[in-house]
Amino acid sequence: MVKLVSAEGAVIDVDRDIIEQSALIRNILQDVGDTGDPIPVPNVSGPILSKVIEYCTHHRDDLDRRTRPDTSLGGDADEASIQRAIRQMDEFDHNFCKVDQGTLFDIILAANFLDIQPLLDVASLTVANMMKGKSVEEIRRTFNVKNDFDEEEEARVRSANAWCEN
Amino acid sequence: MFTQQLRFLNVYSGVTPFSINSYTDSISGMAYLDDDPVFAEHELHLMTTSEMTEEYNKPLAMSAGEASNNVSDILVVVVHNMCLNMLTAELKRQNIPWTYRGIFANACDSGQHVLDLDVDIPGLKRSDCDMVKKKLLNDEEYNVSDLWYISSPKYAPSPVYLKPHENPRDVFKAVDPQEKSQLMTLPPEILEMILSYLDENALISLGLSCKKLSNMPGFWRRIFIATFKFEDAKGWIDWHQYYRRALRFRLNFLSRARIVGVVRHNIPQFDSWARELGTEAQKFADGFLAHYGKTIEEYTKEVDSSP
Repeated sequence: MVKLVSAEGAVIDVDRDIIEQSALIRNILQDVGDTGDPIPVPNVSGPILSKVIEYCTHHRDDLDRRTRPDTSLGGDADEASIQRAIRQMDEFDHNFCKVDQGTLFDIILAANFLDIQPLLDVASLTVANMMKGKSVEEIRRTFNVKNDFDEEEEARVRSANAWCEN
Repeated sequence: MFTQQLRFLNVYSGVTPFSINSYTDSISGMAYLDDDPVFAEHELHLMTTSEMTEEYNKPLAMSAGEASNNVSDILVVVVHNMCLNMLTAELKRQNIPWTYRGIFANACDSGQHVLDLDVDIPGLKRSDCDMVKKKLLNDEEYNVSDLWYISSPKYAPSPVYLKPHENPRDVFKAVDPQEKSQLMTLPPEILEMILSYLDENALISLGLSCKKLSNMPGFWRRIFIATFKFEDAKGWIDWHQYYRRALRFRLNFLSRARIVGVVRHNIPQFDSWARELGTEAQKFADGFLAHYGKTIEEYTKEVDSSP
Protein backbone atom coordinates (compact mmCIF):
# COMPACT_ATOMS: atom_id res chain seq x y z
CA MET A 1 0.00 0.00 0.00
CA VAL A 2 1.04 3.56 -0.70
CA LYS A 3 -0.07 6.53 1.39
CA LEU A 4 -0.91 9.74 -0.43
CA VAL A 5 -1.41 13.05 1.32
CA SER A 6 -3.87 15.41 -0.36
CA ALA A 7 -3.72 19.19 -0.38
CA GLU A 8 -5.80 19.36 2.80
CA GLY A 9 -3.55 16.86 4.56
CA ALA A 10 -5.92 13.91 4.29
CA VAL A 11 -4.09 10.57 4.00
CA ILE A 12 -5.45 8.15 1.42
CA ASP A 13 -4.25 4.55 1.14
CA VAL A 14 -4.05 3.04 -2.30
CA ASP A 15 -2.62 -0.16 -3.81
CA ARG A 16 0.79 0.36 -5.34
CA ASP A 17 -0.15 -1.30 -8.66
CA ILE A 18 -3.10 1.07 -8.92
CA ILE A 19 -1.30 4.30 -8.24
CA GLU A 20 1.67 3.30 -10.37
CA GLN A 21 -0.43 4.40 -13.33
CA SER A 22 0.83 7.78 -12.25
CA ALA A 23 4.26 8.26 -13.77
CA LEU A 24 5.07 10.76 -11.02
CA ILE A 25 4.34 8.34 -8.17
CA ARG A 26 5.97 5.45 -10.03
CA ASN A 27 9.17 7.45 -10.42
CA ILE A 28 9.15 8.48 -6.75
CA LEU A 29 8.70 4.88 -5.66
CA GLN A 30 11.46 3.75 -8.00
CA ASP A 31 13.80 6.50 -6.83
CA VAL A 32 13.31 6.36 -3.07
CA GLY A 33 11.86 2.87 -2.69
CA ASP A 34 8.73 1.92 -0.80
CA THR A 35 9.64 3.36 2.61
CA GLY A 36 6.05 3.50 3.78
CA ASP A 37 6.33 7.28 4.20
CA PRO A 38 3.31 9.21 2.95
CA ILE A 39 3.79 10.88 -0.42
CA PRO A 40 2.50 14.45 -0.49
CA VAL A 41 0.31 15.45 -3.42
CA PRO A 42 -0.07 19.11 -2.60
CA ASN A 43 -1.72 20.15 -5.86
CA VAL A 44 -4.64 17.75 -5.58
CA SER A 45 -7.55 17.99 -3.18
CA GLY A 46 -8.90 14.96 -1.36
CA PRO A 47 -12.13 14.57 -3.36
CA ILE A 48 -10.26 14.89 -6.66
CA LEU A 49 -7.57 12.46 -5.50
CA SER A 50 -10.34 10.00 -4.68
CA LYS A 51 -11.76 10.44 -8.18
CA VAL A 52 -8.34 9.83 -9.68
CA ILE A 53 -7.92 6.69 -7.61
CA GLU A 54 -11.39 5.56 -8.70
CA TYR A 55 -10.28 5.91 -12.32
CA CYS A 56 -6.98 4.12 -11.75
CA THR A 57 -8.71 1.32 -9.87
CA HIS A 58 -11.09 0.69 -12.72
CA HIS A 59 -8.25 0.57 -15.23
CA ARG A 60 -5.71 -1.27 -13.07
CA ASP A 61 -5.61 -4.18 -15.52
CA ASP A 62 -5.56 -2.13 -18.72
CA LEU A 63 -1.89 -2.50 -19.50
CA ASP A 64 -2.38 -1.12 -23.02
CA ARG A 65 -3.27 2.25 -21.62
CA ARG A 66 -0.18 2.40 -19.50
CA THR A 67 2.12 1.72 -22.42
CA ARG A 68 0.56 4.10 -24.90
CA PRO A 69 2.99 6.71 -26.18
CA ASP A 70 3.15 10.04 -24.46
CA THR A 71 1.18 12.69 -26.25
CA SER A 72 1.34 15.58 -23.88
CA LEU A 73 3.83 18.13 -22.66
CA GLY A 74 5.33 18.99 -25.97
CA GLY A 75 4.53 15.64 -27.49
CA ASP A 76 2.23 15.61 -30.47
CA ALA A 77 -1.06 13.76 -30.51
CA ASP A 78 -1.10 12.40 -34.03
CA GLU A 79 -4.31 11.27 -35.69
CA ALA A 80 -3.69 7.63 -34.72
CA SER A 81 -3.24 8.37 -31.04
CA ILE A 82 -6.26 10.66 -31.07
CA GLN A 83 -8.36 7.93 -32.62
CA ARG A 84 -6.99 5.42 -30.13
CA ALA A 85 -7.91 7.70 -27.24
CA ILE A 86 -11.42 8.05 -28.64
CA ARG A 87 -11.76 4.28 -29.08
CA GLN A 88 -10.42 3.57 -25.63
CA MET A 89 -12.97 5.78 -23.97
CA ASP A 90 -15.32 3.17 -22.58
CA GLU A 91 -18.64 3.49 -20.82
CA PHE A 92 -16.95 3.86 -17.44
CA ASP A 93 -14.88 6.76 -18.79
CA HIS A 94 -17.95 8.48 -20.20
CA ASN A 95 -19.73 8.17 -16.87
CA PHE A 96 -16.60 9.10 -14.97
CA CYS A 97 -16.40 12.39 -16.83
CA LYS A 98 -20.05 13.26 -16.26
CA VAL A 99 -19.16 15.72 -13.55
CA ASP A 100 -19.50 19.44 -13.17
CA GLN A 101 -17.05 21.57 -15.10
CA GLY A 102 -15.03 22.55 -12.06
CA THR A 103 -14.43 18.94 -11.11
CA LEU A 104 -13.56 18.04 -14.68
CA PHE A 105 -10.90 20.75 -14.91
CA ASP A 106 -9.55 19.76 -11.49
CA ILE A 107 -9.26 16.18 -12.74
CA ILE A 108 -7.35 17.44 -15.78
CA LEU A 109 -4.95 19.39 -13.57
CA ALA A 110 -4.54 16.40 -11.25
CA ALA A 111 -3.92 14.02 -14.15
CA ASN A 112 -1.37 16.47 -15.49
CA PHE A 113 0.38 16.80 -12.14
CA LEU A 114 0.38 13.09 -11.43
CA ASP A 115 1.25 12.39 -15.07
CA ILE A 116 -1.53 9.91 -15.79
CA GLN A 117 -1.69 10.20 -19.53
CA PRO A 118 -4.81 8.09 -20.22
CA LEU A 119 -6.83 10.07 -17.69
CA LEU A 120 -5.57 13.31 -19.17
CA ASP A 121 -6.65 12.03 -22.61
CA VAL A 122 -10.11 11.08 -21.45
CA ALA A 123 -10.73 14.34 -19.59
CA SER A 124 -9.29 16.50 -22.40
CA LEU A 125 -11.38 14.65 -24.94
CA THR A 126 -14.46 15.30 -22.82
CA VAL A 127 -13.72 19.04 -22.78
CA ALA A 128 -13.13 18.95 -26.54
CA ASN A 129 -16.47 17.20 -27.02
CA MET A 130 -18.12 19.95 -25.01
CA MET A 131 -16.79 22.45 -27.56
CA LYS A 132 -17.68 20.58 -30.73
CA GLY A 133 -20.72 21.78 -32.63
CA LYS A 134 -21.08 24.88 -30.48
CA SER A 135 -21.32 28.40 -31.81
CA VAL A 136 -18.94 31.10 -30.66
CA GLU A 137 -21.50 32.43 -28.22
CA GLU A 138 -22.26 28.97 -26.85
CA ILE A 139 -18.56 28.35 -26.24
CA ARG A 140 -18.29 31.66 -24.39
CA ARG A 141 -21.30 30.78 -22.26
CA THR A 142 -20.29 27.19 -21.59
CA PHE A 143 -16.76 28.00 -20.48
CA ASN A 144 -17.41 31.45 -19.06
CA VAL A 145 -14.98 32.91 -21.57
CA LYS A 146 -14.88 36.67 -21.71
CA ASN A 147 -15.01 38.18 -25.17
CA ASP A 148 -11.85 40.28 -25.26
CA PHE A 149 -12.21 41.37 -28.88
CA ASP A 150 -13.29 44.94 -29.44
CA GLU A 151 -15.97 45.46 -32.09
CA GLU A 152 -13.56 46.28 -34.86
CA GLU A 153 -11.31 43.33 -34.10
CA GLU A 154 -14.22 40.95 -33.93
CA ALA A 155 -15.58 42.16 -37.27
CA ARG A 156 -12.15 41.74 -38.82
CA VAL A 157 -11.66 38.24 -37.48
CA ARG A 158 -15.16 37.18 -38.46
CA SER A 159 -14.64 38.55 -41.94
CA ALA A 160 -11.33 36.72 -42.29
CA ASN A 161 -12.90 33.49 -41.15
CA ALA A 162 -15.84 33.85 -43.51
CA TRP A 163 -13.48 32.36 -46.05
CA CYS A 164 -13.39 29.18 -44.08
CA GLU A 165 -17.05 28.65 -44.78
CA ASN A 166 -16.63 28.72 -48.57
CA MET B 1 2.96 31.16 -70.56
CA PHE B 2 0.46 33.09 -68.48
CA THR B 3 -0.65 35.30 -71.34
CA GLN B 4 -1.46 32.22 -73.36
CA GLN B 5 -4.21 31.65 -70.85
CA LEU B 6 -5.79 35.03 -71.52
CA ARG B 7 -8.35 35.91 -74.13
CA PHE B 8 -9.10 39.35 -75.45
CA LEU B 9 -12.75 40.00 -76.14
CA ASN B 10 -12.76 43.01 -78.37
CA VAL B 11 -14.97 45.30 -80.35
CA TYR B 12 -13.23 44.38 -83.60
CA SER B 13 -13.46 40.68 -84.10
CA GLY B 14 -15.41 39.59 -81.04
CA VAL B 15 -12.49 37.70 -79.59
CA THR B 16 -8.82 37.39 -80.35
CA PRO B 17 -7.94 33.89 -81.50
CA PHE B 18 -6.34 31.82 -78.83
CA SER B 19 -2.54 31.88 -78.82
CA ILE B 20 -2.35 33.54 -82.22
CA ASN B 21 -2.55 37.27 -81.88
CA SER B 22 -2.06 37.39 -78.16
CA TYR B 23 1.26 36.06 -77.08
CA THR B 24 4.29 36.81 -75.01
CA ASP B 25 7.53 37.76 -76.61
CA SER B 26 10.08 35.81 -74.62
CA ILE B 27 12.83 38.34 -75.36
CA SER B 28 11.08 41.56 -74.47
CA GLY B 29 8.71 39.96 -72.00
CA MET B 30 5.84 41.95 -73.47
CA ALA B 31 2.37 40.66 -74.08
CA TYR B 32 0.96 41.53 -77.48
CA LEU B 33 -2.48 41.87 -78.92
CA ASP B 34 -2.77 42.27 -82.65
CA ASP B 35 0.86 43.41 -82.67
CA ASP B 36 0.21 46.10 -80.07
CA PRO B 37 2.19 45.77 -76.87
CA VAL B 38 -0.26 45.36 -74.05
CA PHE B 39 1.49 44.58 -70.81
CA ALA B 40 4.87 43.55 -69.55
CA GLU B 41 4.56 39.94 -68.54
CA HIS B 42 5.45 40.60 -64.93
CA GLU B 43 2.54 43.05 -64.73
CA LEU B 44 0.09 40.33 -65.63
CA HIS B 45 0.91 38.48 -62.46
CA LEU B 46 -0.06 41.45 -60.35
CA MET B 47 -3.33 42.39 -62.01
CA THR B 48 -6.76 40.93 -62.15
CA THR B 49 -8.37 40.75 -65.55
CA SER B 50 -10.61 43.72 -64.81
CA GLU B 51 -7.57 45.79 -63.92
CA MET B 52 -5.89 44.74 -67.15
CA THR B 53 -9.01 45.75 -69.02
CA GLU B 54 -9.02 49.10 -67.36
CA GLU B 55 -5.34 49.68 -68.06
CA TYR B 56 -5.61 48.53 -71.65
CA ASN B 57 -8.53 50.76 -72.47
CA LYS B 58 -7.09 53.88 -70.90
CA PRO B 59 -4.66 54.92 -73.65
CA LEU B 60 -6.68 53.54 -76.53
CA ALA B 61 -9.92 55.16 -75.56
CA MET B 62 -8.21 58.50 -75.42
CA SER B 63 -6.66 58.24 -78.87
CA ALA B 64 -7.94 58.65 -82.40
CA GLY B 65 -11.53 59.22 -81.38
CA GLU B 66 -11.98 55.49 -81.37
CA ALA B 67 -14.21 55.43 -78.38
CA SER B 68 -17.47 56.56 -79.93
CA ASN B 69 -19.39 53.38 -79.45
CA ASN B 70 -22.11 52.21 -77.15
CA VAL B 71 -19.92 50.17 -74.90
CA SER B 72 -18.66 52.87 -72.58
CA ASP B 73 -15.43 53.40 -74.46
CA ILE B 74 -14.28 49.86 -73.82
CA LEU B 75 -12.45 48.29 -76.72
CA VAL B 76 -11.06 45.21 -75.10
CA VAL B 77 -12.09 43.05 -72.19
CA VAL B 78 -9.40 40.73 -70.90
CA VAL B 79 -10.72 37.39 -69.73
CA HIS B 80 -9.30 34.12 -68.51
CA ASN B 81 -9.62 31.44 -71.11
CA MET B 82 -10.96 29.02 -68.55
CA CYS B 83 -13.69 31.45 -67.55
CA LEU B 84 -14.64 32.12 -71.12
CA ASN B 85 -14.75 28.42 -71.88
CA MET B 86 -17.00 27.80 -68.91
CA LEU B 87 -19.30 30.62 -69.92
CA THR B 88 -19.64 29.47 -73.53
CA ALA B 89 -20.03 25.84 -72.44
CA GLU B 90 -22.83 26.85 -70.10
CA LEU B 91 -24.51 28.94 -72.81
CA LYS B 92 -24.34 25.97 -75.16
CA ARG B 93 -25.68 23.65 -72.49
CA GLN B 94 -28.63 25.94 -71.91
CA ASN B 95 -29.20 26.33 -75.69
CA ILE B 96 -28.84 30.08 -75.47
CA PRO B 97 -27.73 31.77 -78.71
CA TRP B 98 -24.45 33.61 -78.21
CA THR B 99 -21.66 35.35 -80.06
CA TYR B 100 -18.34 36.63 -78.81
CA ARG B 101 -19.48 40.16 -79.64
CA GLY B 102 -22.60 39.52 -77.59
CA ILE B 103 -20.49 38.40 -74.64
CA PHE B 104 -18.24 41.40 -75.13
CA ALA B 105 -21.18 43.79 -75.19
CA ASN B 106 -22.66 42.26 -72.03
CA ALA B 107 -19.30 42.42 -70.32
CA CYS B 108 -18.99 46.08 -71.24
CA ASP B 109 -22.51 46.91 -70.11
CA SER B 110 -21.94 45.32 -66.76
CA GLY B 111 -18.65 47.09 -66.30
CA GLN B 112 -16.89 43.80 -67.01
CA HIS B 113 -18.29 42.30 -63.86
CA VAL B 114 -19.83 39.51 -65.80
CA LEU B 115 -16.38 38.26 -66.61
CA ASP B 116 -14.53 39.49 -63.60
CA LEU B 117 -14.67 36.09 -62.13
CA ASP B 118 -11.77 36.33 -59.80
CA VAL B 119 -13.78 37.69 -56.98
CA ASP B 120 -17.40 37.73 -58.07
CA ILE B 121 -19.29 35.50 -55.72
CA PRO B 122 -23.01 34.88 -56.16
CA GLY B 123 -25.00 36.36 -53.34
CA LEU B 124 -22.26 38.78 -52.37
CA LYS B 125 -22.73 42.46 -53.06
CA ARG B 126 -20.28 43.97 -55.48
CA SER B 127 -18.93 46.23 -52.75
CA ASP B 128 -18.22 43.16 -50.64
CA CYS B 129 -16.41 41.55 -53.55
CA ASP B 130 -14.34 44.67 -54.03
CA MET B 131 -13.50 44.74 -50.35
CA VAL B 132 -12.39 41.13 -50.51
CA LYS B 133 -10.38 41.81 -53.63
CA LYS B 134 -8.68 44.78 -52.03
CA LYS B 135 -7.86 42.77 -48.98
CA LEU B 136 -6.43 39.93 -51.00
CA LEU B 137 -4.34 42.24 -53.10
CA ASN B 138 -3.07 44.15 -50.10
CA ASP B 139 -2.01 40.94 -48.46
CA GLU B 140 0.05 40.26 -51.55
CA GLU B 141 -0.90 36.65 -51.24
CA TYR B 142 -3.32 36.44 -54.08
CA ASN B 143 -2.15 35.92 -57.56
CA VAL B 144 -4.63 35.65 -60.38
CA SER B 145 -2.34 33.29 -62.20
CA ASP B 146 -2.86 30.76 -59.41
CA LEU B 147 -6.02 29.78 -61.21
CA TRP B 148 -3.95 27.81 -63.66
CA TYR B 149 -1.44 26.52 -61.27
CA ILE B 150 -3.91 24.79 -59.03
CA SER B 151 -3.13 21.33 -60.27
CA SER B 152 0.58 21.64 -59.82
CA PRO B 153 1.90 20.76 -56.36
CA LYS B 154 5.04 22.75 -56.96
CA TYR B 155 2.97 25.90 -56.68
CA ALA B 156 1.63 25.01 -53.27
CA PRO B 157 2.33 27.79 -50.81
CA SER B 158 5.59 27.74 -48.96
CA PRO B 159 5.70 28.10 -45.20
CA VAL B 160 6.28 31.42 -43.53
CA TYR B 161 9.18 30.91 -41.17
CA LEU B 162 9.43 32.73 -37.89
CA LYS B 163 12.37 34.95 -37.19
CA PRO B 164 14.70 33.44 -34.60
CA HIS B 165 13.65 35.82 -31.85
CA GLU B 166 9.95 35.13 -32.29
CA ASN B 167 8.71 32.59 -29.81
CA PRO B 168 5.00 31.84 -30.16
CA ARG B 169 4.79 30.99 -26.46
CA ASP B 170 5.78 34.54 -25.62
CA VAL B 171 2.63 35.67 -27.35
CA PHE B 172 0.52 33.93 -24.74
CA LYS B 173 0.24 36.42 -21.97
CA ALA B 174 0.13 35.32 -18.36
CA VAL B 175 -3.32 34.33 -17.26
CA ASP B 176 -5.14 36.92 -15.23
CA PRO B 177 -5.54 35.50 -11.69
CA GLN B 178 -9.03 37.02 -11.64
CA GLU B 179 -9.96 34.97 -14.69
CA LYS B 180 -13.23 33.24 -13.99
CA SER B 181 -13.00 30.75 -16.81
CA GLN B 182 -11.33 27.54 -15.69
CA LEU B 183 -10.62 26.76 -19.31
CA MET B 184 -8.45 29.83 -19.51
CA THR B 185 -6.49 28.86 -16.43
CA LEU B 186 -5.36 25.53 -17.85
CA PRO B 187 -1.66 25.33 -18.70
CA PRO B 188 -0.97 26.01 -22.39
CA GLU B 189 0.26 22.47 -23.05
CA ILE B 190 -3.06 21.05 -21.82
CA LEU B 191 -5.04 23.56 -23.83
CA GLU B 192 -3.04 22.52 -26.86
CA MET B 193 -3.86 18.92 -26.14
CA ILE B 194 -7.58 19.76 -26.01
CA LEU B 195 -7.18 21.56 -29.32
CA SER B 196 -5.76 18.41 -30.86
CA TYR B 197 -9.16 16.75 -30.40
CA LEU B 198 -11.07 19.53 -32.15
CA ASP B 199 -12.10 19.71 -35.77
CA GLU B 200 -11.71 22.77 -38.00
CA ASN B 201 -15.12 24.28 -37.20
CA ALA B 202 -14.74 23.90 -33.47
CA LEU B 203 -11.28 25.46 -33.61
CA ILE B 204 -12.60 28.42 -35.57
CA SER B 205 -15.43 28.95 -33.10
CA LEU B 206 -13.00 28.69 -30.21
CA GLY B 207 -10.61 31.16 -31.81
CA LEU B 208 -13.44 33.59 -32.39
CA SER B 209 -14.66 33.33 -28.84
CA CYS B 210 -11.64 34.99 -27.28
CA LYS B 211 -8.49 36.72 -28.45
CA LYS B 212 -6.39 35.03 -25.79
CA LEU B 213 -7.40 31.63 -27.07
CA SER B 214 -6.53 32.45 -30.66
CA ASN B 215 -3.18 33.78 -29.46
CA MET B 216 -2.27 30.76 -27.45
CA PRO B 217 0.65 28.65 -28.51
CA GLY B 218 -0.21 25.97 -30.99
CA PHE B 219 -3.61 27.36 -31.92
CA TRP B 220 -2.80 28.15 -35.54
CA ARG B 221 -0.74 25.02 -35.95
CA ARG B 222 -3.72 23.02 -34.74
CA ILE B 223 -6.12 24.82 -37.04
CA PHE B 224 -3.69 24.20 -39.89
CA ILE B 225 -3.56 20.48 -39.11
CA ALA B 226 -7.34 20.23 -38.71
CA THR B 227 -8.03 22.14 -41.91
CA PHE B 228 -5.50 20.57 -44.20
CA LYS B 229 -5.19 17.15 -42.58
CA PHE B 230 -1.48 17.71 -42.61
CA GLU B 231 0.03 15.54 -39.91
CA ASP B 232 3.63 16.62 -40.18
CA ALA B 233 3.04 20.18 -39.10
CA LYS B 234 6.23 20.81 -37.19
CA GLY B 235 8.90 23.43 -37.27
CA TRP B 236 9.62 27.02 -36.46
CA ILE B 237 6.88 28.32 -38.66
CA ASP B 238 4.45 31.18 -38.36
CA TRP B 239 1.44 28.91 -38.55
CA HIS B 240 -1.04 31.78 -38.62
CA GLN B 241 0.48 33.24 -41.77
CA TYR B 242 1.02 29.81 -43.30
CA TYR B 243 -2.59 28.90 -42.57
CA ARG B 244 -3.81 32.07 -44.29
CA ARG B 245 -1.58 31.44 -47.28
CA ALA B 246 -2.66 27.84 -47.58
CA LEU B 247 -6.29 28.87 -47.24
CA ARG B 248 -5.92 31.23 -50.19
CA PHE B 249 -4.42 28.40 -52.15
CA ARG B 250 -7.30 26.14 -51.31
CA LEU B 251 -9.76 28.84 -52.32
CA ASN B 252 -8.05 29.13 -55.66
CA PHE B 253 -8.28 25.41 -55.93
CA LEU B 254 -12.00 25.74 -55.50
CA SER B 255 -12.22 28.49 -58.09
CA ARG B 256 -13.49 26.26 -60.87
CA ALA B 257 -16.62 25.42 -58.92
CA ARG B 258 -16.99 29.07 -57.96
CA ILE B 259 -16.66 30.21 -61.57
CA VAL B 260 -19.37 27.82 -62.70
CA GLY B 261 -21.56 29.25 -59.94
CA VAL B 262 -20.83 32.79 -61.06
CA VAL B 263 -21.50 31.97 -64.71
CA ARG B 264 -24.85 30.38 -63.89
CA HIS B 265 -25.71 33.37 -61.76
CA ASN B 266 -24.79 35.84 -64.49
CA ILE B 267 -26.38 34.25 -67.54
CA PRO B 268 -30.00 35.17 -66.71
CA GLN B 269 -28.95 38.76 -65.99
CA PHE B 270 -28.91 39.56 -69.72
CA ASP B 271 -31.70 39.32 -72.26
CA SER B 272 -29.38 38.30 -75.03
CA TRP B 273 -25.89 36.88 -75.40
CA ALA B 274 -25.95 37.31 -79.18
CA ARG B 275 -26.70 41.02 -79.29
CA GLU B 276 -25.38 43.28 -82.02
CA LEU B 277 -23.04 46.19 -81.45
CA GLY B 278 -24.43 49.69 -81.60
CA THR B 279 -24.35 51.49 -84.92
CA GLU B 280 -21.17 53.46 -84.25
CA ALA B 281 -19.34 50.53 -82.77
CA GLN B 282 -20.49 48.33 -85.65
CA LYS B 283 -19.15 50.84 -88.16
CA PHE B 284 -15.85 50.93 -86.35
CA ALA B 285 -15.63 47.15 -86.15
CA ASP B 286 -16.47 46.81 -89.84
CA GLY B 287 -13.67 49.25 -90.63
CA PHE B 288 -11.27 47.06 -88.69
CA LEU B 289 -12.38 43.92 -90.51
CA ALA B 290 -12.12 45.63 -93.88
CA HIS B 291 -8.61 46.80 -93.00
CA TYR B 292 -7.49 43.24 -92.31
CA GLY B 293 -9.51 41.89 -95.23
CA LYS B 294 -11.37 39.41 -93.09
CA THR B 295 -14.97 38.78 -92.24
CA ILE B 296 -16.28 38.15 -88.74
CA GLU B 297 -17.08 34.60 -89.86
CA GLU B 298 -13.44 34.03 -90.76
CA TYR B 299 -12.37 35.28 -87.34
CA THR B 300 -14.92 33.06 -85.70
CA LYS B 301 -13.62 30.11 -87.71
CA GLU B 302 -10.10 30.85 -86.51
CA VAL B 303 -11.32 31.00 -82.96
CA ASP B 304 -13.19 27.74 -83.27
CA SER B 305 -10.17 25.97 -84.70
CA SER B 306 -7.81 27.28 -82.04
CA PRO B 307 -6.90 24.95 -79.16
